Amino acid sequence: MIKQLPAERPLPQKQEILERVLSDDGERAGTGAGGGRGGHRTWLVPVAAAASIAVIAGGLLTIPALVSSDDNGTNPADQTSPTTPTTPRTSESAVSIDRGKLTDAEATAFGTECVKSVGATVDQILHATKIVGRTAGSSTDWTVAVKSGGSTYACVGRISQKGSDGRLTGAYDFGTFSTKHPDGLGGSGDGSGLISKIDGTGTAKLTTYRWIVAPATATKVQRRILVNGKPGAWFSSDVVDGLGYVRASVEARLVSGNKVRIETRLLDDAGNQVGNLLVQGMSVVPQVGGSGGITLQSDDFPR
Amino acid sequence: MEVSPGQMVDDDRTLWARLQDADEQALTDLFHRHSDAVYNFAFRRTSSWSSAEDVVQATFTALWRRARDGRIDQLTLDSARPLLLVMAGHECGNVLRSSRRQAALADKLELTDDRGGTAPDHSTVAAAKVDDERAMSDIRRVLDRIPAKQREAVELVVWADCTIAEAARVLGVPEGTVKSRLSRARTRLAGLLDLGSTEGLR
Repeated sequence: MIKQLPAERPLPQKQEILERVLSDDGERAGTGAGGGRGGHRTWLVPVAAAASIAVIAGGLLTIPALVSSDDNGTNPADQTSPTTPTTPRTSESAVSIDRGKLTDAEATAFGTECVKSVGATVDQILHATKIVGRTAGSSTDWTVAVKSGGSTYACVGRISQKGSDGRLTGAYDFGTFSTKHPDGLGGSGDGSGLISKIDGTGTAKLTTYRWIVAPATATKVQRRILVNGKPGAWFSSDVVDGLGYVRASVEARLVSGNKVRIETRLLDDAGNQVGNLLVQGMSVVPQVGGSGGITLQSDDFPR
Repeated sequence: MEVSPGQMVDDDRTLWARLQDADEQALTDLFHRHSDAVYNFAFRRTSSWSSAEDVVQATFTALWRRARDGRIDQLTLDSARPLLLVMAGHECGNVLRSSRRQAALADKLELTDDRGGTAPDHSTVAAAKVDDERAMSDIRRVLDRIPAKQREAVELVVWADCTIAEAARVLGVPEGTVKSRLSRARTRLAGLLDLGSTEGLR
């Protein structure tokens, strides 16, 4: 039987890989064209249900330049209980990641391309919005959910464009909505990434993101990162069509032993919290292989 | 990079020339333009989507380091893709040699996924990728029946859509040599792999 080549796929995590390339400090330059010897994978792709972010070991907290603020409040300084519903103070700052709506044509084109890799077609487009790009200085990312048959697919990134050589290039992440998240709320792609130098020194960038199926009364989804108990700003996005997508990131100096906590909450129109605060605990640990690098480990699923 | 109608898009030669000055945007544009091609080329070489991601990063990191070191030569082809694919081929060897470390990381990720992580969100895609990897491994076993130089010609011309001229240039051989390698590969693998026809290849 003649064997057929598997179909081509778009590179996942494209922006993160590009960031890693551009953040290369060249310490190992001079090794020739094959200079990239293993060990480049300092980005921790989805680290289980818990996974991600933040730090302020050296008091450094940087928010991507393109991010604007919903209000002029200062960063929250209080910590909330992992399990107790709370009503957030209106003075808490929230950094909006929303950047408007997609047109129907844009959303349909993006959704169609996104689900094509699994042979699905578009029955309905939900959450056709734009958010701030993943990297400072980059354009917006598109966030679209696609209902197809009995499934709902999640697409975040940018639609493919035709280059001068006629080839299409895409840059998006793909996932499937699930009700199997430990918190009981449906969603997709709860993950995080850590970009750091290979030897673990210097400033690291942590990013965390999630799609969430919101209760009917929720109008916003927010997420923040705490490092060693010190909270960063809430990152906020509107709930659209019953779905929310939130992404938060910080830059900080991280060392093994640091504690990272990710908090996610849903708010109603009046700014009151809907349901429980969702909490994930992480620890900064040495990377496997003894490279001197660091990575994140879920406190719920230690290795 | 979002391109609006009427906006000029730099060709690869222009981007490559800017890369010689370590222009970060040029590297970014080249990455968005060719990373998918490198990714799929690397998958077909390694039979692993995960390793292919590493190869993409290693390839563009090597390119970026060369740019910053002022070691980027002039691009003589219209497209940078064939050159990037050859670079990726070198990086595939490096990534495979560091497979022990990769395996440790993979085990760790698999472990967390098994305990209620993100696996359910991506189960469909994950299963399809596993199927891809099995299929590709089978194909590689067949392809290993022919010499490395013939395999390289197949990977570049048949699978990655490089022209005969492009493959010849980046491999440093005459076009006739590429054609003959392809012809021999097709003969040896007839009935096992669909390698198309050398006739009419550009």
